[in-house]
Amino acid sequence: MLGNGVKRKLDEDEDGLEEHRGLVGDGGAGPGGLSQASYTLQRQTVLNMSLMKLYGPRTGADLGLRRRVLINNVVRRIHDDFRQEGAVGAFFFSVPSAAPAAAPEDESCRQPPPSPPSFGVLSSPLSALDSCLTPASLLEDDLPLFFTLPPSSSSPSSHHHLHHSPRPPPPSPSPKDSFSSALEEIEELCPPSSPPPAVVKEEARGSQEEESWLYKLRLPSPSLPPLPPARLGPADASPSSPGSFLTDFALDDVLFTDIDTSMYDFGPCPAPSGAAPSKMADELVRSMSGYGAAAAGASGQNQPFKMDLAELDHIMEVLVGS
Amino acid sequence: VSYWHINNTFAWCETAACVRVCACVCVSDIISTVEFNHTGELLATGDKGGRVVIFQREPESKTEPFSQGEYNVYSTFQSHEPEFDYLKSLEIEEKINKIRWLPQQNAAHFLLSTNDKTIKLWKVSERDKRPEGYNLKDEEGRIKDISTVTSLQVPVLKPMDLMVEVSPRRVFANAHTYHVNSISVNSDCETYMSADDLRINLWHLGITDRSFNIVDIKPANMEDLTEVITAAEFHPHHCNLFVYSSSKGTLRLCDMREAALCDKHSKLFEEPEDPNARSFFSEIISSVSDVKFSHSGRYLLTRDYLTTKVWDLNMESKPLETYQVHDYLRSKLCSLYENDCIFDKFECAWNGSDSVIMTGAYNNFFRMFDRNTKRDVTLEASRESSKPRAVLKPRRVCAAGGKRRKDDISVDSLDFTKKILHTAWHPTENIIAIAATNNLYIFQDKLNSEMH
Repeated sequence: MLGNGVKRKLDEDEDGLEEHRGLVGDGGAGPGGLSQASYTLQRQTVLNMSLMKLYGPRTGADLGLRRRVLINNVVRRIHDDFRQEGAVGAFFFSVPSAAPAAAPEDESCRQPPPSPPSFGVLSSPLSALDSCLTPASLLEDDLPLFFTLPPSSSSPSSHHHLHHSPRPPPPSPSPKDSFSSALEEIEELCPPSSPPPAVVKEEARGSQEEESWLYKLRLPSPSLPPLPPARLGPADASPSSPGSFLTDFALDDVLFTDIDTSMYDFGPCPAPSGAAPSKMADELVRSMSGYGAAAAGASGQNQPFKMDLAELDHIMEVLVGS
Repeated sequence: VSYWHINNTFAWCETAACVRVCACVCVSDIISTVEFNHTGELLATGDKGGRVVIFQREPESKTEPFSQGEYNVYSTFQSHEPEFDYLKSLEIEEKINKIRWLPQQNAAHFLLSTNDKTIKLWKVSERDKRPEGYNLKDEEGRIKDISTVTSLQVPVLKPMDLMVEVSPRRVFANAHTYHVNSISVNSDCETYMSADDLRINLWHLGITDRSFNIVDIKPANMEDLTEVITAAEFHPHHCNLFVYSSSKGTLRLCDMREAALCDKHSKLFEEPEDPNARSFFSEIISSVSDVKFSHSGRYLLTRDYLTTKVWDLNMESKPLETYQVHDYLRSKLCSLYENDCIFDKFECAWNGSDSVIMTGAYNNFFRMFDRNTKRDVTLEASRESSKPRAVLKPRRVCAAGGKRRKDDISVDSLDFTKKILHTAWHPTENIIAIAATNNLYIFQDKLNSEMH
């Protein structure tokens, strides 16, 4: 990727892209207009570039919100494209729609840069590139923020768990602390049966953005859509191709399990009302463990990011074919 | 080679002495905005270093008829300084994003300048006389000994060297979470608005601690965010109307009489997407980078990546006119996406009579389109090719594979680091200001100026 304002080096740089560039740019780049393979390759090229822009080294403040939103929409669009091509495509290439959420200047997004729901259930299978682009450390950092409702519970708990030490009794959060007030709000928002997401939305809109981070915390519990059954089945995690991409899930597995228990122990919702969220979490954990197993079973270690385009193409062929 | 014509025959030539000379391209010298005041007598530029430079047009002299129209530096001041937001751990650049002049109401001039977060109101006034001959004070202002005063005289104003004073009058801070991209002074001359990526605020020019949010497109959940505000402007005559453009290529006209919060637009201007032209970059290239009301208030001029469009306020379904700025780049979008040029925000401008529009392009080229004759021209702003008073030669870019004439520039040799993003047109005359990285070019329609 060339920097902003750096002169293009048309000839040296992208021999592979060059031939497809005209086609991509030509506007008529609908799937019908081109051979399926080259269209797929183009799409993958654009997706690679987009992900590099969003998660690459030059992200952060110099990425304006407009740019980030536009790039993210490109990714979404390609994602939709995959989804239209069939469940398999959608499964492997669902991409977190995290870009706008990463806006550094936005108060509501000061929490985890890759948005929790998009990482979690909604698009848990990170795409091939994405799993390479998002280092495990980053995921680790984000997860506690995502799942931890009480901060006192999650980070220490995960810490202890990792060290196989007995869990300390739940610390009672001070009532003045903002997190506990957040918890109260979450409790209020957690009726026995999960409410329609619209209600939550309404509520969140009503409250000012200063509180919208709360909404973020609420998200994982009540408003999670049920997991598509296809994602849970072991048959789905097509052992051969996808497994090799899901390299970082061994670590995540630990984290997820851990967080799951923490949710049982310190769950924001008391037993009667907390049933739904913890069930969701449980499902989540199971689904993730499924992936983890797939990942563990697969040979793939850290794939180099610059994957050969031909190889990608081949993979796409396989996926589309199957 | 035929020169381009507007109304009557004329060609653009550069006026002298106003090119800012800087041997090295310092980043802080890169011009980030250009704006004429309402009479065209003054021209303000802002740069990445937070400075504002004001140029003044020289008054016509009888001995040198050509000197009329030349702009010379009038005043320079530091408008914004780099800051650091400790709460959010963010650096706030000092770069001047926009400058807007207030209509002149007395001898002083006022302008608004903004960086990403803070808008400032500046007073620019000049002093060229000083009172002399006080009876009780001496030249230095010390009280004289009464006993030495033997006669009385009438104090007089004596001319002195012109002194331009610039003083900050108001600082409008802490109202924008995102980056301010537009400010626009209302025709009521009492209020103005400031737009960032997701919100538009309405201010009173005299009140700094309060503003009213008139548009808010921030979704409750930032993951649902797919659209941002890219520019906004008040109607030139109706103080209740304003327009804002979005990254999805739409324009929304809002009427502040309808509701305090203009979340619902009065009119939505949008061109349906051509399904045949759909590509991965359709949305990016349709993102509106600038919107300007015509002086008459009847039309809207917008700029997107490849085209500039004129909309009639009475027709929402499609633009009245669409002009291709650099259609030859359509086959290069993938490269332009890769090197981020596709996100460049080109501005656009009307001439004084709303009959010609102007906008920038790459390779220090800028384009003009005559709406009546449908003729267009590509001109180049560069020091190498233009000397003072030299007549600009129209340039031509030949698309890849096209027939190449002598002097044509091929698409592949365009320099994408030389881009003309900011342009301004004198409010009544054919004088234009072009910002090309750290150089400001002022061109004038030659025949027109000779007629003066």
